[in-house]
Amino acid sequence: MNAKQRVGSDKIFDVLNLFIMLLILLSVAYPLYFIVIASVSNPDQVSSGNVLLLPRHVTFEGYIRLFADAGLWLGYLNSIQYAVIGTLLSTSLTLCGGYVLSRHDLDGRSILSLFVVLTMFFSGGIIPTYLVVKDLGMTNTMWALIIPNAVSAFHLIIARTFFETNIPKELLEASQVEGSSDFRFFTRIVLPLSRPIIAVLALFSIASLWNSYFPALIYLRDRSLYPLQLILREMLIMNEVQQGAAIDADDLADMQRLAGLMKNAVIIVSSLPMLMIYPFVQKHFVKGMMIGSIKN
Amino acid sequence: MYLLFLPVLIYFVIFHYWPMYGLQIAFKEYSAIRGIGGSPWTGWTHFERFYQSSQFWIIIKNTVLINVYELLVAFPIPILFALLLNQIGNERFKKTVQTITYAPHFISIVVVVGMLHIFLSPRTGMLNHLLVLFGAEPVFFMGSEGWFKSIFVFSGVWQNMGWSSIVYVAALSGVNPDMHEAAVMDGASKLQRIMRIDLPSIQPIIVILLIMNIGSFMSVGFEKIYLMQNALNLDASEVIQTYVYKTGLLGAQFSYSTAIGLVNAVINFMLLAAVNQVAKKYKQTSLW
Amino acid sequence: MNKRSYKGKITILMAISLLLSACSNANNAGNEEGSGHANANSVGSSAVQEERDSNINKEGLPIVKEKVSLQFVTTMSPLQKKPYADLQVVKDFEAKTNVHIDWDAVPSESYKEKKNLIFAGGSLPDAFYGINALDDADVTLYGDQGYLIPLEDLIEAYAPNIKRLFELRPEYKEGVTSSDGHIYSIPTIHEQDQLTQEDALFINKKWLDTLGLPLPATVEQFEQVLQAFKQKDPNGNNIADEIPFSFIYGGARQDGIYSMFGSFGRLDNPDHLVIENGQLVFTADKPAYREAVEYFNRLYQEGLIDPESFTQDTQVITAKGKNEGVPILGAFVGWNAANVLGPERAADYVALAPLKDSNGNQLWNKYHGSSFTRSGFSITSASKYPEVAIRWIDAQYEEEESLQWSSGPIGVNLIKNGDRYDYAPIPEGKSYGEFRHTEAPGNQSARAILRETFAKINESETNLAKIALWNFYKPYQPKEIYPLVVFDAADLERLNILKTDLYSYIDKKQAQFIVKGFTQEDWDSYVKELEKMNLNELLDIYSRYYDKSKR
Repeated sequence: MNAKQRVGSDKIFDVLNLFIMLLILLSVAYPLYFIVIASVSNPDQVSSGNVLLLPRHVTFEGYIRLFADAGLWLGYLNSIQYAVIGTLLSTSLTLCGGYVLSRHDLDGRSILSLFVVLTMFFSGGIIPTYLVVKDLGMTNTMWALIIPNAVSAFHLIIARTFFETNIPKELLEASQVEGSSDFRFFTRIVLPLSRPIIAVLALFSIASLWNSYFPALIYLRDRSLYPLQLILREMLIMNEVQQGAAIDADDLADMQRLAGLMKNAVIIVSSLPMLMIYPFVQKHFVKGMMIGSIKN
Repeated sequence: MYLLFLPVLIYFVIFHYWPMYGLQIAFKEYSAIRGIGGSPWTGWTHFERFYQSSQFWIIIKNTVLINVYELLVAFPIPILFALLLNQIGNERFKKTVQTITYAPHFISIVVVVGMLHIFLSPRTGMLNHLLVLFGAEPVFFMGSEGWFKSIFVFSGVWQNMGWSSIVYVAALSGVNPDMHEAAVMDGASKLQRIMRIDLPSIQPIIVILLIMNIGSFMSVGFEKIYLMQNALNLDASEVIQTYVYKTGLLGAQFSYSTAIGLVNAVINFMLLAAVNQVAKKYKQTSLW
Repeated sequence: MNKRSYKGKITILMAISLLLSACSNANNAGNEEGSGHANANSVGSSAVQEERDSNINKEGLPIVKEKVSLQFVTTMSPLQKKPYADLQVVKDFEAKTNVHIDWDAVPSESYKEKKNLIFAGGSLPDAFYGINALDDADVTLYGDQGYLIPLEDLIEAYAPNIKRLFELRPEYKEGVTSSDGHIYSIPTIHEQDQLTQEDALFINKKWLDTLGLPLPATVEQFEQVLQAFKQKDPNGNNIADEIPFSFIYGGARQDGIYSMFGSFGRLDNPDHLVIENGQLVFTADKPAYREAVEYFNRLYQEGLIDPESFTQDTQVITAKGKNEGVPILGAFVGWNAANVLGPERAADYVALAPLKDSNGNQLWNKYHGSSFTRSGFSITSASKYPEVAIRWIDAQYEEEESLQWSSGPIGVNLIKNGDRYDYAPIPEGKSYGEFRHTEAPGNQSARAILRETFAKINESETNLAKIALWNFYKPYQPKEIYPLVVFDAADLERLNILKTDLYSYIDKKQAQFIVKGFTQEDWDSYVKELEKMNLNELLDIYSRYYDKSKR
């Protein structure tokens, strides 16, 4: 293939690629936009398919009701606190564990890996886990939300794979020749080289902590500890997954009306922080950054 | 070295291996007051009950089909997306696409299913408006057995494509740009470079994720299926998790759901072990 | 660098200390579980006990001389904005009784998981409070297992209001007495008889007038009217946007078509069980049922039934009812007209009397309504103060107190005029449901409000509309419906298993038959499948308990 042909085919590729990306962009962006306009429209208009490109019968009642709840801001603060502490803990544990598993020169590596992988499949279920957390005295503290889910086998394996493929063996050999310890090598060489995976793991961890409500539901009693997601769940029935409950029919109609009014606003308010942190994660994905630092 | 692993080890022992004694309730009639150890043994009763259900084969079939569908569609798309995105030269455009596609991950399932109902409504949904515009008959998407799995899988793609591609994007950022420069010198086209450089360099992570995906074969997003279910699509939408949820309504049905969870786990683990064996043989990447 | 290794060490230390504390605690776990029980048994044995007893007033208020604190688990309506502790009824009641309640209130949506873990984890509160706190199965199972204590002696000794309730309404006492003869829960009583009538069939009277049609009286006439709705553009906008007939298929009896099955000779309901001449009859494999399904299939084929009836929720049908501009909804099933249509448009619609069957019979469903709910208040074996707890709830089962916990405090939500009550006007921008839950747990509360009490309230407009509907359908309601019975634990569990498979199969098949039609073969294989799913065993259990209830 000569250079001209290559440039030609690359051009076709670029145009096609751009087209595909625009298509994806549109089809993903529209429903997002829809949520935004639906959040300020009359819910009946939304349900009857009248809200397409612009909001109809604009109302901010959903937001007003949401922000009128005093618990919301406390929930926000709690969630941020849990996400930050939890992420620090979980990312550092996962990085350490993942790195150890990635070392081919380690005896028992495959046994340890199996040990980790097994937990993805077999779990004792909710009761014994609850009892463990209770016996550790963590109920009604933030640790119940953070520690029992601090390490995910899945993330460990991803971290391990990343280290395996992206940390050249030569580096380790060189450092061993130099006589530096494993720990030193890990902290001084490996970690600085692994910014993309650290960013990914941190993001995974933040997102799962941010979205989780179930541990809070079962372990927390004190309302001042409630994370945002639990506060939001208290405010509206999003779900009709509750059977056999005695509900007044008129109350139910009210709840559904409120849910229609607020659910889109809730999505926006609760996911905004997650969207805001993404650029900070993204900047660690710059190509060639790693190789550059290896050279140094 | 081992010291570095110790915290993780301790974590798994306390929060995963220790509670596993709870698995025995799959073979017991769990009674809260007697505790896990003291509940009476019932042997295989719970397993038999599931097997004897007249819905058993429908449920298994749906669970398997939905998973195969997801594996064929929802798994490769984020990889392709990451590879293509990686080729975009304009950094701002690239970041915009990335951010937008990442956002749907945070939308709750209830709202996603609500939007599906609105967009796919046979009377007022925009998709049906389009169909009618082109002279076709409107389709009752949400009330159809045939469409259920496609709607389920593709709405999942919509929601998680960007999110799932993050791992690949991160992996691609580790590719040495020198290799690309060298390839350009040799006259390789973009497509060739994707195939020869990018793909091989993220291959280990792809293989590992594939193995893990296969290992979670029997589990599907419970809440979304449950919310999308209705009497008309039930034959295509009843899966193990929704079935267990419905039969487990009684407070004390921990034993039953544990039993079925255990069956799930065993099947999944065997699948995983098999796939892992194959991967070991051919690629030298494996889970253990 | 130093920082990082420091953090690593901290993590390790923390993990190790966790492990150690976990090990030491493991030994206690077993003991703790039994301790709740020991408390209940040791009542009346120690010196501490005596001191406690002397603190309790046997009657009158306050209940205790020195403040006692109890822990209750309860559900919370999403309409309730303040935590329990801040509600006015709760604060007032604490002042009256001198009993402080430490509320563990869980949003009703997520309550089930939490409740199961409370039992499984063995850290029980003093009591479960509220209409949704425990379901029938919980009361039976946890009563059986000793988690809940028998209340009959406590009621006898400490609870005059509850005793009077059981004397006035012996059926309620029966309704909470388990097969072992004990009472494990005090029921919630809310005797608004209009609530026994749930569904109503509404039709657009204005459209009928426009088209010059009378109210349909038979199923054939109903079909013709729907056809006219579909074809003759009764809303006059020159677009065929009319939805002749819409409903919500499935579990919801208030928006479904169960009552309309009566037009073919036998009513249907979510349990598919009716009582005819003192006999239990299963509906869903009988000719009447089949005829009804065939009829609905015909309507569906003719495009008279809104296909979304099978997928929509109230939100969607309401959007249709409140459609901007001209109305598009012809006939629909619902709790009342205003919820779906909005108050103004509701005036254009009328309730339709049950369509006559070939013999001229007219039938409409009746349910147990909310008059009796087994759950209300249950005391656990962990409570150190069962006497205080029973006195506390008994004080709440006094007429005016119950009313305030349900409808909101006097002075806020209620206005007292002599011995009659008025509903306070609802502030702008609030719905009644929200208003009622501003200072009280409202519908989640445990209470006993009798017919006699409701008679003292000047009804709101919404309630008056519902009462009118109830009066309208009352003549067509069956004399007898399947009674409220208490299944014992084993039967309950078996029923649950059988029902899950059977009922979801019946629901699914009915929907398929209506939408796609069916042949004789389809019907035969459906009936055969029901048998295979142990329909007979299910019916055996139900008839056994039915016979027992008749004694």
